[in-house]
Amino acid sequence: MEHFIEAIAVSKVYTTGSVETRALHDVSFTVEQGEICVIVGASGAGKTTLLNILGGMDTLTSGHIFLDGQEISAYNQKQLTTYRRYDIGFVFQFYNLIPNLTALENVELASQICLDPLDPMEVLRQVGLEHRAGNFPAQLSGGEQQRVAIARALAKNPKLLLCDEPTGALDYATGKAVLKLLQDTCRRTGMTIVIITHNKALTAMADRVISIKSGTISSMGRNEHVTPVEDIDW
Amino acid sequence: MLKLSFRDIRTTLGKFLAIAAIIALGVGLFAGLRVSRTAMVNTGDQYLQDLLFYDYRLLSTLGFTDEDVAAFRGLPFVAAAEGSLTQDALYTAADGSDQVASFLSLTTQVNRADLTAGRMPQTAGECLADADAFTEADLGTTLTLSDANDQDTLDAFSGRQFTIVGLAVSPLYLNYERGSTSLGNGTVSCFVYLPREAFSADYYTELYVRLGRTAPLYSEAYDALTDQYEPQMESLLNLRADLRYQTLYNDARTELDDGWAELEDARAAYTEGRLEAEEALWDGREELDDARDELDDGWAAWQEGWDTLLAETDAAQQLLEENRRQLEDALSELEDGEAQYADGAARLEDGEQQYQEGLAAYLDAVAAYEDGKALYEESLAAYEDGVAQYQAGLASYQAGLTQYESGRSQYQSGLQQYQLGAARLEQQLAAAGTTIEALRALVAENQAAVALLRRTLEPLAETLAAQLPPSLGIADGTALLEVLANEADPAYPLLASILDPVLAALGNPLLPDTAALHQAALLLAQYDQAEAALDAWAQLEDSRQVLEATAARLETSEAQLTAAKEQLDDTEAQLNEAQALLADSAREMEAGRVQLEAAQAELEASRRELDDGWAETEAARQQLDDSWQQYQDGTAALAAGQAQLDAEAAAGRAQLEDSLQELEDGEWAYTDGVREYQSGRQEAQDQLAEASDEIRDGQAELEDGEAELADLAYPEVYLLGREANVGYVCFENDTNIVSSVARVFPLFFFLVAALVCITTMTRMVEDERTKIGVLKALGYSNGAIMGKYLLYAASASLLGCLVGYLAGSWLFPRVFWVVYGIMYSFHCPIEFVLDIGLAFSSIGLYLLCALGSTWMVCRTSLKEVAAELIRPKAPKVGKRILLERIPLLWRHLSFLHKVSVRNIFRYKKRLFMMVLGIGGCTALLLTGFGIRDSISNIVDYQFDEISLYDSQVTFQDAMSTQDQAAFLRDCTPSVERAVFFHGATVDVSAGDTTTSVNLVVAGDDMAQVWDFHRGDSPVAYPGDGEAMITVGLAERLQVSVGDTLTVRDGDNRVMTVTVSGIFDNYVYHYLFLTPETAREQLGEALDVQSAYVVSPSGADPHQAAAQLLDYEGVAAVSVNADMRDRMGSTLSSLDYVVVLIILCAGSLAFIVLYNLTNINITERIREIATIKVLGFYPGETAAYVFRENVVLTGLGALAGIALGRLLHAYVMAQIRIDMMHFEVRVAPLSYLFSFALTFVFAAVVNAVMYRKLQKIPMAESLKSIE
Repeated sequence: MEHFIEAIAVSKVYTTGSVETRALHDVSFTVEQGEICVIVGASGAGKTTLLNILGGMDTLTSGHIFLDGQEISAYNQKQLTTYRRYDIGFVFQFYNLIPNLTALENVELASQICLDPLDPMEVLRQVGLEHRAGNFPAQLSGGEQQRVAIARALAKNPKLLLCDEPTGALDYATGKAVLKLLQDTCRRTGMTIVIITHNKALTAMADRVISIKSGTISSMGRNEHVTPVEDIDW
Repeated sequence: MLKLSFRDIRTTLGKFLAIAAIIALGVGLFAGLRVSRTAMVNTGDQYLQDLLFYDYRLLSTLGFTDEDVAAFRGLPFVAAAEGSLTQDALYTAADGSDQVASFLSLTTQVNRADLTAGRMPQTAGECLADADAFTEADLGTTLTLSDANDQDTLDAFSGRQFTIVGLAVSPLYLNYERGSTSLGNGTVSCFVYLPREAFSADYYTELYVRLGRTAPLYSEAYDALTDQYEPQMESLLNLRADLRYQTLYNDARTELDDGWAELEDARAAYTEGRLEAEEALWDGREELDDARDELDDGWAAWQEGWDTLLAETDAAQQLLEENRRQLEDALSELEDGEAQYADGAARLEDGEQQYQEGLAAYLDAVAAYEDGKALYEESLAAYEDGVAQYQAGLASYQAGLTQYESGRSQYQSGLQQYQLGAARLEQQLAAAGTTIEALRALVAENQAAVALLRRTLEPLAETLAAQLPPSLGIADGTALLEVLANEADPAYPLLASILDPVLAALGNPLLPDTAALHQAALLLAQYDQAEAALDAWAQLEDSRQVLEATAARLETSEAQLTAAKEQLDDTEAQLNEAQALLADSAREMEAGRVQLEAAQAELEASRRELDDGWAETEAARQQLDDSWQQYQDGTAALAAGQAQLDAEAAAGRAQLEDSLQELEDGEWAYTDGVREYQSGRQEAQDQLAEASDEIRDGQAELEDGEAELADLAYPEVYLLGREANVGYVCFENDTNIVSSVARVFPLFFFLVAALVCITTMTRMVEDERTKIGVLKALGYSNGAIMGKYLLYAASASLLGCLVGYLAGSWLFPRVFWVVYGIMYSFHCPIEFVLDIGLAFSSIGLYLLCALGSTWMVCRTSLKEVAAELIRPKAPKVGKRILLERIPLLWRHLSFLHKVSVRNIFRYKKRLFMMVLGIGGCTALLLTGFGIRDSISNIVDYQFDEISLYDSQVTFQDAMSTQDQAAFLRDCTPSVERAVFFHGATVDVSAGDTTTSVNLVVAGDDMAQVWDFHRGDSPVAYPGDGEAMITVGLAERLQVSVGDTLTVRDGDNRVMTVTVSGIFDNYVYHYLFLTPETAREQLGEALDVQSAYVVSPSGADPHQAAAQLLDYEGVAAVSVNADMRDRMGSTLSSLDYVVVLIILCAGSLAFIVLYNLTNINITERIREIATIKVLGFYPGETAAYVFRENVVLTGLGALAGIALGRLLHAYVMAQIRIDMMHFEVRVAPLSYLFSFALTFVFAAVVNAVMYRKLQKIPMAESLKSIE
């Protein structure tokens, strides 16, 4: 069976003046359709670079990345934009909601530009925020904001949901709720989710765990004992 | 801390420079425009001082003498006084046309000419030319006065050609105008400076006076100064004029009296001369008649001599002719004899020729005979050789034949033997049941085996045979083998029985038993047989080959023999033929010999005949030669006779011709005498007549002189100041425009710049709130932190102020100077004026703005505690805007448009800033265009729609009704219509305001040359006690219809009139009254001394004016077209101002938009990065950001148009040019342009910002909030 995501010998080198920084070195992994994959590593390990490359925000220096049979690493800037537009949903650490738009409008902002969006209101309902639809981000709590952000990502009906430290700015309970939402979404819709975090505790909820250290994969494997989010503790 | 400030400046260099730039722009414009007029006037003042510009210009109709000049120079307050001559004259320009130049005498103490190229003139034949009209290429060329000048004009100069040695600028002609004239087309094209000596007049036409004290140009102090000395100047001027008149009158009287005396003397001399002439003529007549008689006698004698000569010559000639004919007959006889002699000689030559030919033929024949004989003998010898060879050949052939036949028989027998052998062998083989080929195969196959067998078997057989019982009869191995080979041999079975055990005992594997031995022996026997048969076969083959070779040899020799036979037969035939030929030849030779002998005899006979003929011919020759001698002698005698006759006849004729020549000379002399007499008579008569005329002319001249003297008018004099100089006045007006513009514009600019500066600083401090928090947390005092921002603001403002101030003060006056340089001929660079007060005030104001706003913002921020500051300011809550309350509109907006709309209203301060900045820019643009709209057409309106006359004529004296009629009658070709009026300058007051206007007193026929209207409706001409005034005057006096005006004339007489109408007028202020009103109010009628004149359509107004100037009594003609040009160029200088404003507005718009967009993008960098991550295409991202800009630009532009209208009205009120009224209006196209230009500027900024937007990294979205 073909893999949903397949990274082959991915390397990324940043050149600043004459200094070359190796952010990723010969990274290869695969992720299957419908999995929750947690990429874990200390800060500076290269996980953000990996996320950037997966999300089509940055190009790689060598190697190949395939998503659903398409080679992303061969895309030009325009194709990358289209790729971000139709295939990727982003959830940021700091939510990055447009402050001047209501919760619903923030979701609409994403669904406006998609080919096959979900109904924004329906998505909001799914994340349990239908009663806050008319509120501006400043009037929402952090967890609510992150849920709006997830709704914004889901509304695009993407192939892949990329989450960058989704709980990083949230307290324990809220973070758990957000993770639960992600896990439930994955189970319910069969969407592939990649979560990037430095929090090793999150690996318990993943179908697949990839550990990154100093730009290389230190361990990788399927988690046979997936723990429901409720039982995870950190 | 200081370091931090500098780092801030470095890292935000763009922002820092933007602040500095906008401040520089504001200060530069403010300072530059403010200082421009001062700089220009100061420069002009200095320049005119350097050139010793006059203070008074004195004119007198009788001119000034050196004594007059000295008298003025003697006044205590006068620094210099100098007389000058001015004469307008036509000169021939480079293109051949006649142009008018004003010729001025060079002065040194007043109105110095400013040399721009070349050198000053040194002799009367050199001149300085107008630097505007001539170029350096003209230096060294000659300027020639045209022949079209009248004599008086030419007489005014001492020469007619002037070499241009230099180019100059004159302070008298500051601008491009050179004045008008009564010559040519009425326009002076240039001035020319000549040395005093170049003028023939002994007086000066003008006198220029320069005062000892001076005051700044165009200042009130200057007016006061000149007013102060005017009375003294005027009284001296009148005094000198009176003196001048007296002197002139007395001089002329004396001159006339002398003339009368001279005339009397001339009359007496005339009478005497006439008597003398008549006597001389009578004597001449008599001498001529005598000469005639003498000539007639001479003619008769000559005719007689001529007839005698002709008769004698004819007789002699006839005798000579007869002799000539006799000689000719003798000659023809001689020629016949010659011909006969020639024929005989020719015949003899032919005979000789034939003989020689015959001789040659004979000799040839003898030679041929000898050759034939030799050949015959050779052939005979060859024939005999051939017979011998043939015999030998025949013998050898027969021997060969015999040999061949014996060979043949041998071959036959050999062949038979071979065939026999072959048949036998074949028989044997057939009997053995085999063929030769089978045998060959057998041998080839078994060669090796046989060799082996032979080696083993033969020794074995020998051994075995030795062991055999002799009974068997087998002696040796060979026999044993024979028996073994034959199975049928009876001994064989026995043998077998004996040998088998032996063999078995031997145990030879090859030959184990007898059967094997049998096989081997058989094989050996067969092999030997086959070998024998093969040998026999080979022998047969050899002999066959020998036979074949023999057969071939035989055939060859047979062929050879046959060929030899044929050859022999041929030879025999040839020999027979040769024998026959030889016999023929012998016969022919005999016949030839007989012929040769006969020919020899014939030749000898003809030789003898020829020799006789030659002797006869010789005798005939001798006879002919004698006859020729006789003929030659006769001819010589005849020629001598002819020559003698010719000589004699010629001598006679020559004698006759000489006497003829003498006679003709006599005739010529006589004719000359007659002519001389006649011309003498004529001359005498002419001289007398001329003298008589001269006397008459002299008398007439003297009488004219008397009349002129009687007419000699008392001189009129004028005292003029600088304001009578066109260039001087125009320069004041034009510089005033600059100062008017400078009053308003910069201030507005100043305000916008300050506002931008404030906003930028405010935003900067707000953006750095976190940094302030950190600094505060680190323990920096509030003062230190504030100091940092104050330093930033202060350094930017100071930098901007300094750069702006210096650049503005330097640039703007220079720009104006360059632009004005097109119209003015100041030959000097502009001064760099630095107004220190202006510098301090502008720098102070900006520092206050920048520091004040920084201080305010910082204070607010610093009030908060550090902990709060470090945390980001709570994001501004998104708000529903008013528009959302109107669902009808809101719902129709596309989603992204909604976002933009909300963004626009989210930041009120930015909205306000943007609208104000862009509005300001649009307002400036609109004002710039508006100024042009308001003033560019007033000249056209004035001269096309209001002042319908072409020129204004001023008369020397008051014109009575009769004078007016006479003027109209006499000037018909150049005047279509004329309206006479009284014109004066009067002061008009209403309330406290007084202003000076042009008073026109005329009847309502004035409406023929003036179109009085207000807007679209006509204005009625005033009635009794009423006055009509121009719009500009009404505005200045703030009066309207029905108000009362007080009019005060030059003699302080006062009239009070009611305003009956206000009419549109743009150039000058006028007040119109009827003569009746004036008479009523003043008690007397006013002199009519001016007229508005309409030239016939199609006529050149300048030419018409020149014709009018020629009319007696016309003092001056001012042509509207000239005024129109002057006004037009003054106003066109405003165009440059408008361009300047537009450029400034553009820079303002750019800086404002750049600043604000920059702030906008910086503040929202995270948001922009996020939407990029969400997958917005670059165009969509740009639209997301810039849609706001476009909307705000539109709003700003709309606001700017409203603002611009106000600003324009204000500026127009400020632009006050004396005696001009502007209409405040803005053309629709100007609105469009202002609006569009604003958008162009915005588009440029957006284009620049688009690149910046592209560069925002998406990674920004992942960063934490600072």
